[in-house]
Amino acid sequence: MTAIDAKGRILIFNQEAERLTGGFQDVGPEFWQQAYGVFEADETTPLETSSMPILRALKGETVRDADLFLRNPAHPGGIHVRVTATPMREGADGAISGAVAVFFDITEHRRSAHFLRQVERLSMLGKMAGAIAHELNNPLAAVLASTEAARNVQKSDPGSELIEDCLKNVMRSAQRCSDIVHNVLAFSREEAPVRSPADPNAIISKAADRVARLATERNSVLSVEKLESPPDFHAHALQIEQAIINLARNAIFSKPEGVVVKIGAEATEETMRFYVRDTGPGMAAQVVEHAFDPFFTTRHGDGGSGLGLGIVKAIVESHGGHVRIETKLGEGSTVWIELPLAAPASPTLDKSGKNA
Amino acid sequence: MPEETSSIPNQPEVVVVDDDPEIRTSIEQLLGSVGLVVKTFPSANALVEGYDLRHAGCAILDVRMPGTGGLQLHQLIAKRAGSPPTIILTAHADVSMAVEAMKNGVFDFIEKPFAPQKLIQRVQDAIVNHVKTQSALKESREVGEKLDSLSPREREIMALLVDGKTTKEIGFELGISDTTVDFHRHNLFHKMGVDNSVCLTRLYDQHQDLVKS
Repeated sequence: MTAIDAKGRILIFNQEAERLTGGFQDVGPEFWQQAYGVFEADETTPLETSSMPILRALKGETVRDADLFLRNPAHPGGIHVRVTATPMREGADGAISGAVAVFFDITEHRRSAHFLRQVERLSMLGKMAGAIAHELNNPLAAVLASTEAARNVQKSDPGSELIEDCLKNVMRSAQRCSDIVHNVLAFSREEAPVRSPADPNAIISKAADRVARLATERNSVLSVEKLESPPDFHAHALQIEQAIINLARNAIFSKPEGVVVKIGAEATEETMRFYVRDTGPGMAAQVVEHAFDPFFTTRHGDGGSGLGLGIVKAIVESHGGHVRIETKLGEGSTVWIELPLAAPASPTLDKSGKNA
Repeated sequence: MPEETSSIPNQPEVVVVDDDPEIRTSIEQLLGSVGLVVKTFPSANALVEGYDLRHAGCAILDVRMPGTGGLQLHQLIAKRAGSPPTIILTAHADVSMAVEAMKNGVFDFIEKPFAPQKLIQRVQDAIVNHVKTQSALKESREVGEKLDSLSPREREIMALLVDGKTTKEIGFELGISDTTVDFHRHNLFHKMGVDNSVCLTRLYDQHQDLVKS
């Protein structure tokens, strides 16, 4: 732990602080970043002096569990620390007389959590490999057969319209292969999503555009309900768009044709909720139960990879949100994606400013 | 247009049952490109309800379909007279499933993604096989009808002729004159559509073989 006075001079610098920082250095706050090698949790961005938890505490803020990274001669490989800092107040008026910060070394914790995630992902990928091969089979067989057909027709009747038909089927099938690969890649990505300001309405309409053709092909009606005044929202827009596309595809495929699908959003003070509603047959309890399992699908052969909802879940959970299914047999289903409006920034900062 | 498609009347058709629209289209295109007539169906029900299987020379069935799968459909089809040979398409190599399928009289078991030429080859083999079996069955039916038209005496004489007995031996065995034996033999040859006992014996043996199988 360490404590400073109102002017930012260090009063206490205990043993753990010595160990983590590589030793006390008698320099002003503006040099701490360089002296102790203080970076943001991304390990690369130097931490601004004004963002130092203890200095923020000095301004009256209570900072809880801010994650930082230290790289200094004592720790050339760097260590991750979690910091909590609070102001110290004195007198009847509660004037701030200084601030205290407590550090915890969370390097090991992060490493094992990271390792666990790796193992989980690898074991999932292992299971996926077989299923992916299986899913690619049909469209690949179709590509091979239609290509051979085109060659045969080319020999016996060059210029026949049949050749175009064959090529169309090759295209459709190859597109399916590409969709499967695309989805698998979405699963295999490692990083946490990079969240930036996103327009929920743009996400909805882009997603709707991507499935519009499919809806038309299957005589289904697609509508979009936008927010009148979209709130500030942080997300990895492309990933959320992909999640909504996957839900919309499921909705369109819920019946052979004639499904009415609505994509929309609702916002509350803290959450952003996207929904995809359909007039399909609804899902039985046992379908709902397995809906998120990788490779669970009710439409074999019809382009159902059983990956769509799994990807939705992975994307949404990586955003700190969750997916919810409302369904009634014979009436239809609504799938909700509920996301926190603001990204829980890392480091996580409590901006309430109240005394702890 | 490939000239074979329209010029052969009553050409045996190939039926394809697969729930995957792209697979259906691709097989239709592939087999169509070598002059075969293809009918496709998205499900077992669609085939059973909408198609007269006597027009088919080969049925290609996907193992995994919602509702009735290919193997089950094969069992349904196989019970019917004049049903076509079936080729089962499967996405995963499952040895026990393949063995079971072959035991149940499936013509072939082909794994996806299949080599297009192989599928064409096996479909053509299946059709040839079917045509042969059907014409043999037809012939056997006709022989059966001819046999039915024989009188009891003619049948007795036929049995002895097939055994290689001479007119004299037959006359002796049945206690009738050579002239009478010759008279019956003449009528019997006429009814069976043969002109000597060698042809009669061959026809009779073939028929017996088919009846047994």
